[in-house]
Order: sequence, then C-alpha cells, then structure tokens
Amino acid sequence: MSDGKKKKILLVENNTMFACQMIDMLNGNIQESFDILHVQNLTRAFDELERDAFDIVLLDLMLPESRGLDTFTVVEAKIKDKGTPIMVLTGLDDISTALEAVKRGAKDYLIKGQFLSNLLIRAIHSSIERNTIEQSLLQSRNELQGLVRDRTGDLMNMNERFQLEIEKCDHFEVELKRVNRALQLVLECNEIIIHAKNEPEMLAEICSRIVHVGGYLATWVGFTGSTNEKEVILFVQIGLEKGYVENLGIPRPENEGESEISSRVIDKGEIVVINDYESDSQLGVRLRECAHRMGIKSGIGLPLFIEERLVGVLCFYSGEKNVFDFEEVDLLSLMAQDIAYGISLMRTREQNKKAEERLIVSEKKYRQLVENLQEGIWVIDKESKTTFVNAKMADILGYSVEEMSGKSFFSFFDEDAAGKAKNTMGRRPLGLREQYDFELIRKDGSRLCAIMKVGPLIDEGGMYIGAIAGVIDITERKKAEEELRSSEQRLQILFDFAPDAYFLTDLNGIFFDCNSSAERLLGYTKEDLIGKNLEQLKLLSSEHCAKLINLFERNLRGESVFPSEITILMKDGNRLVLEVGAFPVRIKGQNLMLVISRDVTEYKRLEISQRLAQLGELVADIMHEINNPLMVISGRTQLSLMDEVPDENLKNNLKIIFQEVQNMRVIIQSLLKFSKPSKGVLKEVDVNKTLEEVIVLIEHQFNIRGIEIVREYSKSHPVLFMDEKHLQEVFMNMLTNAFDAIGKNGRITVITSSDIAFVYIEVRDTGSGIPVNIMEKIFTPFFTTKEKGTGLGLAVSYSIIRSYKGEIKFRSEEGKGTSVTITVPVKNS
Amino acid sequence: MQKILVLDDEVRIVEILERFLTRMGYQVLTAYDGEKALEILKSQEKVDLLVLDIRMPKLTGIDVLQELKKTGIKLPIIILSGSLELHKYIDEIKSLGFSEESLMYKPVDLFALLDKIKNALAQTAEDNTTKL
Repeated sequence: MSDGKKKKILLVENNTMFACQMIDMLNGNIQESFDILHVQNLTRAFDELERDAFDIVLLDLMLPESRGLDTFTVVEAKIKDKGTPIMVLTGLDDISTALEAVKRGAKDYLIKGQFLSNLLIRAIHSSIERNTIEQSLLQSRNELQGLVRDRTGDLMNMNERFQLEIEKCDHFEVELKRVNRALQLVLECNEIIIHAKNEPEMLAEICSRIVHVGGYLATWVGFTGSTNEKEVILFVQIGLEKGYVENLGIPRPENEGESEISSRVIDKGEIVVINDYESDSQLGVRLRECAHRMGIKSGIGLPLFIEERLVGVLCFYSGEKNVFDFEEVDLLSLMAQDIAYGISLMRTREQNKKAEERLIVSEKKYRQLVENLQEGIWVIDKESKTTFVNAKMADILGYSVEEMSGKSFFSFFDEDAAGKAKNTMGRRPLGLREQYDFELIRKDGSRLCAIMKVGPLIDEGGMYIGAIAGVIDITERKKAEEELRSSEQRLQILFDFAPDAYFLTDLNGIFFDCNSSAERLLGYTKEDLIGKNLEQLKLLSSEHCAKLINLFERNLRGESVFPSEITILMKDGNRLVLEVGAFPVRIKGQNLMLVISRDVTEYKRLEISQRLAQLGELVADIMHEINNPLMVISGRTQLSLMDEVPDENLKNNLKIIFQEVQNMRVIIQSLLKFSKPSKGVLKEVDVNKTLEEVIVLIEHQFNIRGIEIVREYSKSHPVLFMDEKHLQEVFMNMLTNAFDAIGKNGRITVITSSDIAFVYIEVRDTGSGIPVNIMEKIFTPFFTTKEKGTGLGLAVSYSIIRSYKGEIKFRSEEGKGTSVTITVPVKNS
Repeated sequence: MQKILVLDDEVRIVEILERFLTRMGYQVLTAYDGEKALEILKSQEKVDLLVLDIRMPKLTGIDVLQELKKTGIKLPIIILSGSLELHKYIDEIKSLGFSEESLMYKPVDLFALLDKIKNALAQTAEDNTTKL
C-alpha cells in the first residue's frame, strides 16, 4: 500500500552486482520511487539502523561476517524494538534457511535471480504492510496486555490486603484460643482445688490438667527445702525427662553457671519467663540440650507463696517460642496464686485432721484412763444429779453405771451425811477443791467409808455447771487401821510392861523410847533418856558403844546376830552386864532399833564362880602332878646347898632355883585357897580392928613411897562372922593393888560402914585406874597387869568373899583412881 | 638316935628325905607303900615319927592312919601332900586325932619340915613327960 511517502529501504548485500540490479529494479519503477541505502556488511547495517529509521530491511543471509540463519537472528534482535520488517534474500540453494527465517519473523524472502522488479516491489510493499499491521496488532495487544496487567495488579493488591486481613483474623483466633485455654485451665484448677482431698492428689491433678487442658508440653511443682530455702525438691511432674528436675538441684561441675527457670524464680521470688530456650544465655549448654531433647522452646516459672512466704515453684514448658504473652502470664500468675492457696488449704486441713486424730486418741486414752481408774469418778450437774460415773464408781456402790445415772448425789447418803454433803456442796460454786471422808450407802444397804476429793466444774464462761469427785473406798483400809490400832495398843502394853528392858533408838544410838523396865534397869527416867545418845549419858564406854552400833549395823544387814553382852554404867555408878539383842524396826517411817536388854550381872557372877570352880579342879589335878617334881627339885637343891659348894656362882644359882620353887609353892597355895577356900575358923570379927592390923603391917612401906593411908572407919564398929584370916587376906590384896596402882605419891582411903544387912569396906585409891577394856577380866585367875603378879589376888579375894555370899564391886576411872567396895552380908551363914 | 619312917610311893622323894634327915642326925626307915609301912610300924622296931604321903596307890595315907588307930599305935606324924585337894581329907585327919598342923604341902622347904619334925618330937616328948 502506498501512503505517498517515499519508502526508505536498507539493503544489506555484499554482492554489489546483485545490489545494483535490485536498486535498478526499484528505481525503474515509475509509479513509485524508493529511498535506498545499500550497505555491504552487518557492522555498517547496524550503524545505519542506529542512525536512521527504515521502512524495511532487505537482508542477505550470506554475509561475510555472518552466514545463514544467524544473520537474521542477529539483525532481528537489533531492530525488534523498532518494529522494522525484515525480508531475507537468499540463494536458490538455501531456501530452507529462508523459510526458517520467515518462521522466525522475517516478513518474506526473495531468491536471488528469481524475481523481477514488480515482484520485488510488491514483496516490499506487502512486507511493509504486513509489518505495519503486525506492528499495530502488536501495539494493540500490548495495550491490552497493559490494561490486563494493570487490572491484575489491582487485583493482586486487593488480594494481598485481604490476605493480611485474613492472617490478622487467624492470629486473633489463635490468641483467643490460647487465652481461652488458659482461662479454662484456671477454672479447672480452681475446680480441682475446691474438690481436692489432699495435697499430692490435688497437685498431680493440676499438673495433669496443665498438660492436657492447657496444652503445655510439660510441667512440674517443687517445694523449697526445709533446710535450704534455695533448694527445690520435686513434688510432681509431667512430661519431663526422668531426673531432669532432680538434677537441677544438684550442684555439679557440668551444671556450673546454669540457671533453670525454677532457680531464677526462687532467687527472685517472682515470675520468670524464658521465651526462647535456644537463645537464652543463662541456661547453659546442658540445659539447652535437655530442653532441645524434650522439645521445650519456652517456659514460665511461677512462685508459690503461702502467707507471703515463698514455699515452692510451678513451672510450665511449651513446645513453641514466645507463647507466654502478657495476658497469659497474668492468668497463669492468678492460677499460681490459686494453687498456692489450695496448697495452704490442704496443709491446714491436714493439720486440722491430725489435730483431730490426736484429739480422738487423747479422748480415747482419757476415757480408758477414767474407766480403768482404781478411783471412782463421779460427775454431777448443778442440780446435783449424776451425769457420769465410771465403772469403778458404780462398782464401789454396787450399782450399774446406768442405774446411777440421773440419780441425785445425795440419795447415796443417809440423812445425816446427806445434810453434811449438801453443806459442803454449797461451797462448790465458790470454786473450792476439798477432800472429805464420807459414809456412803451401797445398793445392798451396807455402808462404806470413802474419801472424796471434790472440785467444781466451770464452763468456758466461768459459770458453775457441776462438780466432779474422785472417790476411794477406804472401808477395808479403815478396818485395817482399826485392827492396827488395837494391835498397836496390845503391843504398847507388851512393850510397857515387859520384864525385860526395851529401848527404841535410832541408828546412831539416840533414845527414842523405852519401857518402865528400862527405866528401872538404868536408873534413869524416860525423860532423862529420850533424845540423848548412849555416849551423852555415859551409859556405855566408847568401846561398848561401838560394839552396840556394830550390832545394829549387822542386824540391819540382815545377819543373824546372837545377843551381845555389854557392860553399862548405871546412874548410881554401878556396872551392869546386859545381854542385848537388837532388831531393826520401822516406826512412823523411821528406821529404829528395838533393843531388848536383860540384866545378866548376877548370872554372869554365877557363871564366873562356876568357871572358877571348874578351873580350880583342873588346877588341883595339874598341881598334884607338878608338886612331886617340884619337891624333887627343891629338895635336891637344898641338899646340894648343904654340901660345901666351892663355886660361889653355882651356890648362887642353887639358891635362886630353890627360891623360885618356893615362889611356885606360894602360887600353888594361893590356887588352893582360890579353888576351895578352907572354911577356917569362923568367929565374930571386928572389921575396923582387923583392917587396922593389916594397915599397921604395911603402912611404913607405903609411907616410904609417899602414899598416905586415910582411915574413915565407921564408928559403929561393924562386926562380921567369918575367918579373920580371910578378911585379912582380902584386905591385904586390896591394899596391895591400890599400892601398885598408885606407884608413888598418892592417897588410899579406907572406909568402913554398915547397915542392918551389910557391912561395906571401901578402898579408894588415887592411882591409874582400871582401863575399861580389862574391867571384865580382873577376876580371872592368872590375869595380871603387874610385872610380878600371880594374877590370883583378886580371883582369890573374890572367891573368898563369894564364899561369904558377899560381893566385890569396882568403880574406876582411868587416870583418876579406883574404888573397890566389898559388901558382905551380916548374916551369911 | 630317933627313928623316922618315910612313906611315899615316889622313890625320888623318899630318897631326898632319907638323905636329908639322915644328915640331920635321924635314923631313917623307908617304905614305898602303906603295907610295908604298917609292917614296919607293927614290928618290934620303935619308930618315933612318921612322914607320909596321902595319895598313893593301894593303901592311901588315910588308910594307913586308920589302920594305926585301929591297932592302937600312936606316934607323931607329918603329912606331906602334893594334892591341893587336901581339904577333902582334913576332917578325916582331924577325926583320927591328928592336928591340921601336921599338914604340909609339897614342895616343902626341907628346913621347915625339919622344924615341924623337931616340934612334933618335942611335943611328943613333952606329952610323954606329962603323962609320966
């Protein structure tokens, strides 16, 4: 088609001849002229295309720099944007390439040498035309595409906006769901707390809900240690690896520096959230690995407070990051408070339960106690009606518990006693506790004596509501007491009137009581004795005192002890030999000794006499056998002395032998007298005169030694019917003893006196005295304290005086002197 | 020379007395039992004094004295006794007409015995003189 405008053609052809041919063809057209630019290579072609716009490009495919289809491709790419149509020129041998080029966008092809001018022009025109149509189509399509593109963009935007809105909605929904879930959890927890029976069950159930309702991955509850408040002890857990929590509390080198959520809660005392376990720096490698293994991504720790004290921690773990937002934390914090309250509730309940159990046990115990008491228990109300009695109380009165219940307290007394009881009961509201002896009446009418300890019952408001009494049946005891009393009286009579002397002393010998025989025996009154001890009274020498105490002690030890003989000093100075038995007794809670003593002085004397008589016989037998040999010794000695003895020494020895034998004779003769004194010549003897005769004999000798003899003779000149020699011998003995006791410088007083029955001769000296321990032995034959004594003087004297039914008594105080009293009855034969 | 008969079952004592009294100028006859003594006393031989023991086997001193009384032989005696039970015999001795003074206890001082013998002999002589 022609638009009147000259068509600009770019001819790319390296074959100049062919190019000229084509230019000629085109210029030869008269209807239309063309503006033709001919280039021979692609480079020039590209330059021209750059510089100017062409209506069509005639392109030879076989160019020096490019051959075949490539040539088209290169050029087409270069001018695609301009929309300039390309018509390819090809040889006959390469039509397929040209067709391929057409397929790829070349508008037409011409085979060199095969066309004429008109074909060429028409081909140019049709190519341009087609190109133009194509171009405008293309433009329209592009415009359409642009429109579509614009629309699509809008739609996309819209879509995006919708998408965002939808996502927002989704997020809210998740949030809502989560909050709902938390709310649900809180509600269920509260429900559990309300219905829980005990703490472990409650917490186990709550943990289970946290995981199953709350949708958390794991949870656990722990309590602070009783000793270490920083330690957390696992109480219950769900969803965690075994040992995870337990290991938290154990300090180990590999745990060093790590801080789990629970420890942080305990440390800070507040809620702690870990939003991302992977990035939390305080966890440490080990815990992070643990968390990873268990799928924990985030967690929250909630402190449990009871009465403002941190007692434990509740931890949740989630499998997602960042789940614990503000609202959720708030809710869970509330839940933790509720759980803490629940724990406190359970614990209080447990304590109350225990207290209640204890109360029940104690009540049971108390009841058993009351029922098993050996004391009757009787409770009455303020109208004095029986409200309670224990089995023992009913038993005491012979009723059953049921029978007594409700009965008036006073109906168990007779009229008299009831009156008294009413009086005393009137004092109960005053709050007095008192004890009474009452006579009660049993069901069978018999009476019983009872001790009642009565106390008031006061209610919490301080009002009198009744009384409680403890009752002990003392009927038997009273009977026994009476029996005891009467038996005591009998014993008292026995004690008082016993012929033997009875003493009660304590263990230290202090007198407690004694009977009248004892008073007579000692010559002291009971008043003199009581409260004093043996030594104070000088009744006993310390030796005998010790002997007596020893006797007590052995008795107390339960040894069987034979009665002991002790010598006592009576108030009047006389000595008595007592046979003493001691028995431990307990009187009025005191350990005492009952000392039973019998005067055996006379018996002892008889015993001594008997012993002496026996001894005498024995001595007589022996002496008879000894006397003959002595006679031989004595006689032979005398015969020897009668000879001329030239050796003075020998003579002296013989004399000594003879003298000693004579001494023995004296002893033998004394023994003879002692064993059986000869009756001698009995006649009336003036005692004073006889004594004086003896004194005259020895006085000179005594005076030489500074010993003065004082005579205090009775003026009544007492007379005895006896052998004068006997009296002389006894008296001589007494004086000699006194002399020996004094030794040097002293005084001997000789006193005579008499009454109707007796004559008394006393010889008193200021000598050394007789030691107490030998006092008993002084009459024993051959007992002597003297260097040259025979030990027979007193034995013989005693024997003589006894043969006249008299007595010899000694009183002696060591260091002060001795007094010997010879008592001889006036009528002795 | 006055004759003294010594009677004792103890040879040792008889021996001493014999030697002593011989030495003191007496003629001493000895007997070791009562029978022998009585035999001597009943014989023609005149004995002036008898010294005798009491406790002897066979005849006792008392038996001898009783026999002498029975037979009417009278002579002074001195009883030497080793027994302390002499008092048992005192009454008997007295009843036989002998004094308590005639009793002596062994062991005797020979010179005391001599005194006693002299006294007894003198007393007898005196008695005889009085009688005469």
